[in-house]
Amino acid sequence: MRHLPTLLLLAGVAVTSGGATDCGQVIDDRGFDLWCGDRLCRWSLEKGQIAPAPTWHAGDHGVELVGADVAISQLTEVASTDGRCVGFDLVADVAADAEVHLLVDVYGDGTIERDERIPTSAWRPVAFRLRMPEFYQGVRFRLTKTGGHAVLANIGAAIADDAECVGPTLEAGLRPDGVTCGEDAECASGDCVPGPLGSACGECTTDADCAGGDVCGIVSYAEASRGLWAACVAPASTATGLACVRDAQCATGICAGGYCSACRDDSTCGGGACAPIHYVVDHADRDPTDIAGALHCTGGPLVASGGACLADGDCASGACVGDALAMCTTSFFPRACTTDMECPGYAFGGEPACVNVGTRGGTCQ
Amino acid sequence: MRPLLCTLLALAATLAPAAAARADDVVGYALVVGSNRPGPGQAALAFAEDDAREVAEVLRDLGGFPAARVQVVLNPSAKALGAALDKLERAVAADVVAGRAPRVFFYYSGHAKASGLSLGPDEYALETLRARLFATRAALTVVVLDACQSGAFSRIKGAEPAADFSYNSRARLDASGVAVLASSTGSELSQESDFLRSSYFTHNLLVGLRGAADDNHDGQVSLDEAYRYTYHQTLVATAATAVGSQHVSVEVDLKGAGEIPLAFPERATAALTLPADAEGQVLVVKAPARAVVAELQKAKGAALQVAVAPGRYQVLMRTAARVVRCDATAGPGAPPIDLARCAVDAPLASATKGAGAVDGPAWLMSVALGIGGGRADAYTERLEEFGYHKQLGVGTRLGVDALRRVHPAVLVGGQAVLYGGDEWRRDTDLEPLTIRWNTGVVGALGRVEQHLGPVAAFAQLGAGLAITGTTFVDQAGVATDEVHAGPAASGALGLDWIIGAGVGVTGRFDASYAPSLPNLLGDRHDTGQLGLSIGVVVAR
Repeated sequence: MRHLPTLLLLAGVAVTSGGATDCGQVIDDRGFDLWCGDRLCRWSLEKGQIAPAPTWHAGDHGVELVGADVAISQLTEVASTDGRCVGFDLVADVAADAEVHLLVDVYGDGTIERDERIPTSAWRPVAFRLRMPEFYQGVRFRLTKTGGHAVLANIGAAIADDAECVGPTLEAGLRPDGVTCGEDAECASGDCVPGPLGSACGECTTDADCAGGDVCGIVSYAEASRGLWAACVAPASTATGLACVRDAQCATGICAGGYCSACRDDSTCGGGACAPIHYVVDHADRDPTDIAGALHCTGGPLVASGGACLADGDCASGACVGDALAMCTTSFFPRACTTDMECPGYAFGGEPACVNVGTRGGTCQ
Repeated sequence: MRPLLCTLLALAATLAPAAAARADDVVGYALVVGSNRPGPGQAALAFAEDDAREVAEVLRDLGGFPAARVQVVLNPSAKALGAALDKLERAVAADVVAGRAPRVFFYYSGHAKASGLSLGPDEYALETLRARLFATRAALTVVVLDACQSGAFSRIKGAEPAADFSYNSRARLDASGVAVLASSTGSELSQESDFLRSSYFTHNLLVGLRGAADDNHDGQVSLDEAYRYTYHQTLVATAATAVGSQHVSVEVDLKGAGEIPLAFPERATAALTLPADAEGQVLVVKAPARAVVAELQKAKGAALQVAVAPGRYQVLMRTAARVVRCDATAGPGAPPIDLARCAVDAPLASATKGAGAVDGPAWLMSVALGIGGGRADAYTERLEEFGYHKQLGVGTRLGVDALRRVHPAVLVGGQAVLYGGDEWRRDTDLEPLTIRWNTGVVGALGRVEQHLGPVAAFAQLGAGLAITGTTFVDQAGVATDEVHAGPAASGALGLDWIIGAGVGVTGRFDASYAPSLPNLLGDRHDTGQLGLSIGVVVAR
């Protein structure tokens, strides 16, 4: 096993390695109650259409899988530390000409470890008991339908008693990048990259592991079950405000405080100070979170046109142009995001977890 | 429950045809007193004065008392009663002087206390009444008292209580002295019957005097025959009432020997003759007023003549298997009732009105509050499948019953019941989904009951319409109300205990069935309950 001392921040990538369930519940929005317009807030619509449909009462909705080819999924953060037996229950109204499947994708890496057909049913409960691998970290549950009418309701997945799982154990493949590991052989990449709080599977430990002139940097997975991991990235490709481990991966050429930053120290701020941008998040039931992000120049001359910036206030023109930079407030390590669902622990917190803090890779006009 | 006749029945004195006296020398006087008026703390009576009129009529028609010698005193004051006794005493004294042997019959129906007759606000002391009656110089005095604890009156000097109803006056020819017939013992209450429109005691005494008590078919009803008949019939009729059994008592202080005839039904100008084949409980009703003239039991084997006033009657003879309904006319020379010309009604499964007959209050209303458990069925199972959990462990029940008596042991009416229903909840990431419901039932009700003193044990069944109102609260906190309907049936077993003044308590075990709550998937919930209730009952 190789060691990458420079990637200290990777140490605890696996913020989800401790598992994440809500009193044993694995699925979020089990009753399909949360609709954001015509889509489910907590489920991903992969193809086809869905619509709310009445169940036993007109006010209690299930989800109708509309059309001939529909798929919805949810990547859960359940892990082996939560338990080995996962019970999956739902109430189904499935017509004889419809074919509905439950697909279980351990790690959410696209490999289907279990395919269960949901039988034809007239609003009867359906239950599966899944004996999970000895180690797993994150499971994507995917529901697919082809053919006729199908409405699903009260879907729940919960940690069950081991005695209930009498079937064969799911066979999971090698661990994908970002999953906690103990040795190289466990990783699909062959590299288990250690850090002070643990190790995660990654692509590289040095630039030499990368091809095509790429450098060994750090990336984050787009969803919550995995953290940051070492990956080969193009030189100067990581935008300001995102996590980094090497100057070479940052567009500004400055990796400071774990972020690609606009400055490294006061010397480049023309009399001002190089300080981290702060974003404070208020919570309903606890103290506000004050998170220090990437570094930028403050208190000095404003940045001229074309200079790197994180916020409009950095620029002489008053305009910092670039994509929005949003960060997870629930992540122990800097983690960019575009939606709440990409943030670890959001599913059970309920508060906004992905907050806008500035401009990603911004340039002053 | 029938009103109590808390009266002291006074004595009737009849002077038997003493063997030592010639028939021409025997004269009879009757003083008949009736008073419905209550004394302090007493309720008004309904039929005491009517009973007095009936007794006077029978004495005139069947007892051999000339109309001029029958004094009927209704609703008297103490002074008026004293004046009537003065008149009686003077007449008796005059006859004695003339060498005749006067007989005295004294009858009282009304309220009484241990100390005296209650005559509205007045009280006439028992000691005074006793002294006045026994001070007359009549050869034989018969006292008949229809009042509460009337047996206490006959503590006359020298009188000995009869060992039982088999007292036989035949062993005492040429009798003279005093006999007291009382409607109850010294510790019992006397009762009136709404159905008979009379007191039980006087009604049975009159029926006996009209001929039903003539055991030896000699055309006369003697004192001991009247006593035995009245004793049995009154005991049977009151055995199952709320007040309890009433034992007619008799005490005598007679000298000499000979029967003491009280009535001569054979001399009646009109009578109804029940043929030898007639049997069962017989009810003689005067047409068209439908007043009950006689209610008696008849066995097969001998004809029975019941003396009545001339006119048209309906005679009903009821056994466990059938009811025979005969129209009859009473008049001189009228033939016995021809059973072949009587109508026979359909068999009656529960129409017996003999020893078990109950004549309770005409109306009952009860209000009962209880707790119970809802039922688990396909509807609640479905809720569980959809992730709901029951929030309330115990349901409530509030019911009102109103019943009218249509038979001594059967009541019909209606009921309204409100069942506090369940609440089920499923948690979501927003507000919990909640459904709760309450059910109201209105319907008809039938009850059978058996009285055990002041307590009535009952069983009842009901059927009607159930209306269930539901409130569903969605994850946004928006409530939606719905109303559903369905059939309802109920049953209960319980006890009513009338404590006093027609008010008591009730306790019952309830079971109800009300499939009135549907869901969209075809399940229907029984919103009824199994539970216990207690409450208040009012009887009128």
